[in-house]
Amino acid sequence: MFKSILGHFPHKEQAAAISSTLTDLELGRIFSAIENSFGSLPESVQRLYRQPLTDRNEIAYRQEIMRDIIEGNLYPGLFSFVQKIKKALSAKETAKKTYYRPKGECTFLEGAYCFVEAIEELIAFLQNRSLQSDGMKNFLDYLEKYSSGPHFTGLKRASGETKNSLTALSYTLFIRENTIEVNLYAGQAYQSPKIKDFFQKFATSSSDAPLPKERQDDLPLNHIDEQICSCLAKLCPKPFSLLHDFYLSYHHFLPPLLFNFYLDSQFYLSYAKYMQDWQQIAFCLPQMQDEDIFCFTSGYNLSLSHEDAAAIVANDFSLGEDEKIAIVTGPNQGGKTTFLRLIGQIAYLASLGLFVPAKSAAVPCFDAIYTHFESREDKDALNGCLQDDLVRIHSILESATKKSLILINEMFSTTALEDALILGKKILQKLDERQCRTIYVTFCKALSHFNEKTVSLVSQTDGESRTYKISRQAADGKAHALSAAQKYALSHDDILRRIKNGRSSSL
Amino acid sequence: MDVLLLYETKEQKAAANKSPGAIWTREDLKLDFLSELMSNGDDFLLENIKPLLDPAGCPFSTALYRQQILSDFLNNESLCRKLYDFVSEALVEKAPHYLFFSNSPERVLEDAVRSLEEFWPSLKGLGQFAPLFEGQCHSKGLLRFWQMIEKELTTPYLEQMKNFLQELHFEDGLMAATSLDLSLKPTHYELCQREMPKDEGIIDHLAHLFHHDNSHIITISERDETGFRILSELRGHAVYNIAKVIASVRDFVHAFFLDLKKQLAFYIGALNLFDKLQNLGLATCLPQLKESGNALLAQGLYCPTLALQQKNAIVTNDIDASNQLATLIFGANQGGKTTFLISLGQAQIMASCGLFVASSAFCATVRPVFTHFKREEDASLNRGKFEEELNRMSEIIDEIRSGNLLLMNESFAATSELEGSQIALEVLSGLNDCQVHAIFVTHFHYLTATLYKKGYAYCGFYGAERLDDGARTFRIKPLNPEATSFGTDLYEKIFSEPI
Repeated sequence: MFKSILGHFPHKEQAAAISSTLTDLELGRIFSAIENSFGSLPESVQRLYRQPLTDRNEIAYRQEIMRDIIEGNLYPGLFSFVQKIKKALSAKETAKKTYYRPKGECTFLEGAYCFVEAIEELIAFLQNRSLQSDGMKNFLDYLEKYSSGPHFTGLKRASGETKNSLTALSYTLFIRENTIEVNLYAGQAYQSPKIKDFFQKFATSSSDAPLPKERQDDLPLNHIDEQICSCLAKLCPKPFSLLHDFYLSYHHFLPPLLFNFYLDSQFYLSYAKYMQDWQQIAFCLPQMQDEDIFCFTSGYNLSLSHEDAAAIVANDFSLGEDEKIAIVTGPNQGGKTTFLRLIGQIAYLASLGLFVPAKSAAVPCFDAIYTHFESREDKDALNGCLQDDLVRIHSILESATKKSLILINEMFSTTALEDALILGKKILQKLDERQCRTIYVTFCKALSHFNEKTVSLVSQTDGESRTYKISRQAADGKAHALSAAQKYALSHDDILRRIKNGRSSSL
Repeated sequence: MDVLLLYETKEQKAAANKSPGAIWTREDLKLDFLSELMSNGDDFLLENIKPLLDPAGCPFSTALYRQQILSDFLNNESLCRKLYDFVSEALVEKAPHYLFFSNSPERVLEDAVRSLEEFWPSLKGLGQFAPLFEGQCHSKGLLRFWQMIEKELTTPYLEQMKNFLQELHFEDGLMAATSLDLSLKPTHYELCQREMPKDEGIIDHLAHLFHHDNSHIITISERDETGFRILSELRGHAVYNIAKVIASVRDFVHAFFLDLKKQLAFYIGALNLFDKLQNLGLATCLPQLKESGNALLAQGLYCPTLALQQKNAIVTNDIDASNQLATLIFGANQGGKTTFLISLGQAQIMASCGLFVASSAFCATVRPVFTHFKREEDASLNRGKFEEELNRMSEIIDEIRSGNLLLMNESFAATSELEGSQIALEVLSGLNDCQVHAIFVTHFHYLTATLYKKGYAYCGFYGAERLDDGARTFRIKPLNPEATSFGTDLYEKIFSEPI
């Protein structure tokens, strides 16, 4: 039976991610990019992004749904559903606040109409796709049952009837000086076809007259509008009474399960939209297997801007089952921090059940991601900094397990090299004892020889492509006339090819 | 109702190339100066003639179509100028247009109605020209235009138009029909006819309706300013459709007169130029146009821009470049080669766009013209002069097609004679194999001598004429490029000594 598209146990409240982890990995920046790209996100979805899962089955449940959305291209149908429900809900709210009763009831009717459309279009859309995930299959099953049930069919019939009877009401206004005479339309001939016909010979085929577009004003009805409506209600009362009955009978049109689906689907949709924005990079659903392998190929750090990303080289990363600790060293500005964040982002996004920014990836199911980045405190207070570093790493070591991921960026950088080395070794020793998966960025090269299992990663500065570019310009030396002609493709053969293959003659 | 005096069909008119394009060619052949000479200092004429003096030319049938109309203009000059003045007059001081652009539909309608009422006498007056022209014209274009005017702007039609415009002042109120939508605030209204006897007073009529109890009247009290604003909005909605129609009719009528004036401008410009050349006693002719091939034959050809600048007798030339795909014109500097090339280009373009030419006889295929002239001042600083030349040639190759005409003036002169000649040989042979017609003015002796020695059938040779005493005549004559030395005569003249 369908409960939720978020997991098997949707009511189990997940713990929120550690806030320093979100900051250090710049996940907040990613979340706001997701929100900006999508428009706006309900609070519940914003919360979802901050609640990593730790249960492999729950992650798999979401991954299957995400795969359906991306690979089965469910985005357009679901997005349009969300838009329509949003519109329906806001119409319902507006209706409540509207003073003139028939106007409020009409707004409500429009909302209900929109809801009916949303449901029917979504069913048709999903039935046309081959759904693979349990979550989506169950949802469609539920939706089909709901739509043939009495609530929905009744709502649909009543909204249609009410709308038709209202829109069938035609009337005339005769305006003369300060009076408006309202009457039911009695078949009077329209003027414009006659005039149009007469001036046919002066009609341009292409352009319209430069008349401002008619204002579609959403302003509340003014007193004249209301008087016209009241006249109409007297002249022809039936549509207005139908409208009132409809409002009373169908006040609650959105069932709770559908409302949750409306909210929860925005979690997947907003991420799908975000992925689309990053056209230049590859995303994949990571394997979340039992073995403790942590690796990815062509990973991109998502917190960089799109422009930066074009210039940044994608990174590969791979740690085997026994390789618990990796030390990252290398020159400054070599992209070490970016790389560390990338690892964290991939691990985090994987735990949400989402695609990760890499060509392929295998990610262990971590119980928590701890980060230890340089604190932004005042660097002058040397003791303060060192103390802070130690306090933080101590508290991490208190709660970390062998299923945790620990990302350390330049710990002890404020102290003397000697101290840093000794302290660093000590901490590594403790991490090694606890078997925590640790990635440690440091300026202490000696730490990379901590023990025989320690993996050493070194960032390289890559100037090759630039050299290549310079050499190409340098090769551009003085040329002989004919080679210059060849450069501009003006040799006999070039000209023959260019003129013959060009666009056909303009005449 | 379409004005089709420049193009034979609406489709051709719509497809006509609007972009100025080919800036170099315009400059090289002094087309803008030629346009100015045709305009007599009138900006409207200039603006409308310029784009028509187009190096790309127009289709053969269009050129012929215009030439026939031009012939009627030349034969009825005063009537044509009178028509142009009448059309100009019709466009002067009409009710402000677009000024109420952002205003209410009611204002737009009012404005359009008034403006159409002002155009009305001009519509009537235009019809009165028809019989005057019909006795005198023979061209398809003019005959068709006046037949259209007589058919469309009949007296009964114009009278009914007047009545319609009168009705649109809504002196007796207006009635609109609409239907409810879910906003309860419909914006789409249709103006409709209210069947009511004219003499029946409004009050009686309303009383009559009340009797049946199916009528409801809302009265806006005098102090209800908002109410009056809303009322005027409602009127705006009611007339919206009609306002759109009438405003577009007004725009059409205005555009019609403007279009007519623009198209007449081309022929008025032609008349202006014709009169100027005639005053100098210079010959002109309507060229013989060919639809295909490489026809290019002139007798007594001269350069109209130079003639009108110098205002005196001018050198004329004869050439027949029809038989060879490449014609090389060589010889000493200041031998009149460039002027000759310009006059040839101007004549070809004037012929191709339907004008007369400055020549006593002229025959040419209607086709686009490209130019590759040596540029005196080099604007591009980054690139060397030579590279700039190559680049410009490369851009021409992108555009030029088989059957087109390319005029080259000292191309590749920015490099040495040997290198320049080698490139020219490549380019000329390539163009020849693509059936591009080329006229090449050059001082490269190596180039002309090589082509001559190899005896290519596709090459023809002309040289700057020199009399036996060495004096130049600024004429171009068929000549074989044998033993001529360059610059010798110039040197000798300037230094007053033998070389």
